Amino acid sequence: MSLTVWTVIFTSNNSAFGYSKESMITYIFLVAFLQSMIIASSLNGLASRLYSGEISNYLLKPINLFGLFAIQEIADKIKNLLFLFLESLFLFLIFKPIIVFPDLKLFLLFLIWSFGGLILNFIITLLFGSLGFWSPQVWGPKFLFFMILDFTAGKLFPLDILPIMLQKIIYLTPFPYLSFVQIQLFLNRLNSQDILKHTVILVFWIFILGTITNKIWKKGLKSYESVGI
Amino acid sequence: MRLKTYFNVWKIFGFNAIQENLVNRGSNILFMIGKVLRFSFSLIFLFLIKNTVSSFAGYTSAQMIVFFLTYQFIDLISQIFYRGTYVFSNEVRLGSFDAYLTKPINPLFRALTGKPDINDAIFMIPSLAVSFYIFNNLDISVTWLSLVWYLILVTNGLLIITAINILILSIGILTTETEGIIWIYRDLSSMGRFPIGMYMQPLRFVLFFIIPIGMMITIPTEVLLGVKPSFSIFVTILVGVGSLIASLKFWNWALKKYSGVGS
Amino acid sequence: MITIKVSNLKKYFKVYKKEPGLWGSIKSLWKRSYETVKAVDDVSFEIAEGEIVGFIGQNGAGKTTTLKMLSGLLYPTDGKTTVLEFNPWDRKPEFQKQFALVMGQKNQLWWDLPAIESFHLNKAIYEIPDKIFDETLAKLSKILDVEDILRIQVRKLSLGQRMKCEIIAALLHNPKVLFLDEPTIGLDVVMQKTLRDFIKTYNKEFGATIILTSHYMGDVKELCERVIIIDKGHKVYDGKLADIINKYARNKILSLTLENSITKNDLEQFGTVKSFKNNQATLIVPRKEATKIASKILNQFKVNDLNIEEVPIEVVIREIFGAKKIH
Repeated sequence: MSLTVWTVIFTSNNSAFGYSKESMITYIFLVAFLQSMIIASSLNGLASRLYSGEISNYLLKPINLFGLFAIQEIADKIKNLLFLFLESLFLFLIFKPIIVFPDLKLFLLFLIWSFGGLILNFIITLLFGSLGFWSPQVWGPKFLFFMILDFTAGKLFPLDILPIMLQKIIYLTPFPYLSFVQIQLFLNRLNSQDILKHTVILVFWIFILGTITNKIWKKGLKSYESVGI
Repeated sequence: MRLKTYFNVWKIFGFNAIQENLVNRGSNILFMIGKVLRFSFSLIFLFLIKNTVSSFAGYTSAQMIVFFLTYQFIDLISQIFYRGTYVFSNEVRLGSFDAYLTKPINPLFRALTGKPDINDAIFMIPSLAVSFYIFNNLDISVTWLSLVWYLILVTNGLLIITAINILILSIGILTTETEGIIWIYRDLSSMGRFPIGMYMQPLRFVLFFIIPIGMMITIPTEVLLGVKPSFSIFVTILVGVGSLIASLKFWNWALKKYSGVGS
Repeated sequence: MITIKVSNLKKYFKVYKKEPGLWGSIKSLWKRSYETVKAVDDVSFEIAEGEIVGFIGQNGAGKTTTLKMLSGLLYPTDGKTTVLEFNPWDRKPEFQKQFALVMGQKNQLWWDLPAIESFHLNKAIYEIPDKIFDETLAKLSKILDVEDILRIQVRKLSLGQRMKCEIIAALLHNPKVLFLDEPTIGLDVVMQKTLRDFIKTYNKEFGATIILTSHYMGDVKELCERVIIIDKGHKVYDGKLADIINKYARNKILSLTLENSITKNDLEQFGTVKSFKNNQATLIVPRKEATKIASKILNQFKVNDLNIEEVPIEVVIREIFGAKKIH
């Protein structure tokens, strides 16, 4: 949706919502990049794999479960990156867009933040997956999560076009840290104070959610094994 | 007499779908919230655009909203009635489709309408109400005649969406794998939120004649708004009826090719 | 009256063969080699009304393919099938209302709902009048002893209970012809027995014609007087189950209990010694000479007890399929 809307808007206008045509194109490319690097996950089916008992096979093997998931995730991301590269090449050749690049320092920080976002998403996915320990009904929450993510991670439109009130609410959740802040950084729309603040919050979310997820999984595995699927 | 049987069977599909929803009510409430969120966010976004950008390639922002609402309506109808399309390839793989074929009822009917989506049916009510409210407050003029043509063309659009669903089902029989196609179709159809005439060629051609999203959504809306339609009403109805006939032929052909899973 | 008539039935599948490895996959993009698999090759038989016939064959022998052609799911490559004087492929509602196909591994019940809801769907599909539906349901659920589980979510039932419900769903319209594909697969011994008894009862009470395929010889032995053996698409045997032994068994089994101890070697001149322990021995001897050998042994040794037995039917059938020549 995002691409279509914006092409439509920018066919007849040169700037909108405080984004120039170039920065909007960059935005769209970054969204696509972060979408496959951060948000896309090989672990979306985790809950049903847990509930069906498929995971119990892994528990019997001498491997670390989270380590295994992480490796699967990395493999998946590498695959995504390959496709993304081909896709972007194709789009570049057709549209010849101008992408605005930040300076090296910001770019490195962008990569670090993206990696942080990746970890955050990994944790959140595991958290959702843990539902499978207790309930077969995992699609409802997952669907809701995707819906929320579509609009609060900046996937469909930049969050800063929303009314301030709504933005404030969204910033109370971890979702903007799954793409939007990274893009803002890339587009050089943050001052040093913002950068510091967002770094702290990102680390905070990883820490808090990581602890919670770890606790829940420990509890879940216990009840999982005692059921003896 | 047969028609009555089909209606009775369909009633049970619906009735059982409601029961299934009640069994899994927790999940379904979350689905509902998700849908409401998506709809309201889309509307917020649309109104933000409306307030910031005054015109889009010759359309006013009020007109753009009508395109969006028409898309929303037709999409919802197909979700309510033809939800079974999404899971059909799985049924072929698992052999449930074999069971359908042995029953004295048309297998296409069962595949297409066997799983109505109750969540969307419920969601339809507030969504229609909101749509009417928005529509009434938009700065557009509509005549009775254009409204009648709109309804006829939307019905024609429903024929097209039926045809597309039949096409996907047929592919499901042939390949037992339709997830990719469904995603592509969802992506393409979501382009129908905006008038197809805005897109570049050859995309525009594809969306009018190959996967006729334009005939389904854009043209009815253009007629309603009194804009000169991209193609004549005659062509639109021809595409509608033609695609339905073609898809039925394709289904019959696929059914013949169907060789059963395993031996 | 002949209910099912099959003449020279053939079903060939074209299967595409891929060379192994990535290169093979890439090559297959422009060059594909096909292989014709003869799933069913020139099979003919007739089944009379009220018969129960067992289809025996290994995996992939063509049993299910034949059943699918008889149900109208598959279009035969060649040959003719008539079931209840219909051509199954036409899939006429009048025909479909008179037969049922039950596949042991397939599930047609609504997973999240009680079985009774699926029954109501079939009631509507088969246009069964209320009164007949109620009667049939009461009767079937009584015989199968499932009255109290009809209102429990199917996903919460055991495999056996589910299979019972599955069968009820298939029989609500009182089919005259019933195809059962592995109906007892995965069930425990008690449940297998229950189902067998039920199939027998259904056959008797409703005079239904039944074709049954099964991996369990037990099913076939108990239910079917007549069997059709299919191997690699061909019909290799069609007749009474008991006659298989006369026709195919080449050996008989001699079991002896001897008075005093002899060595294994002493016995080996008479036939293959299968077991030898504590003066008890089993010998496998050619069928025709069994009596002669027995009298020889009786002359030569002091024998307390001697039995001549037929080879078990499973073994004979295994031999027909050429799996292992043990007897």
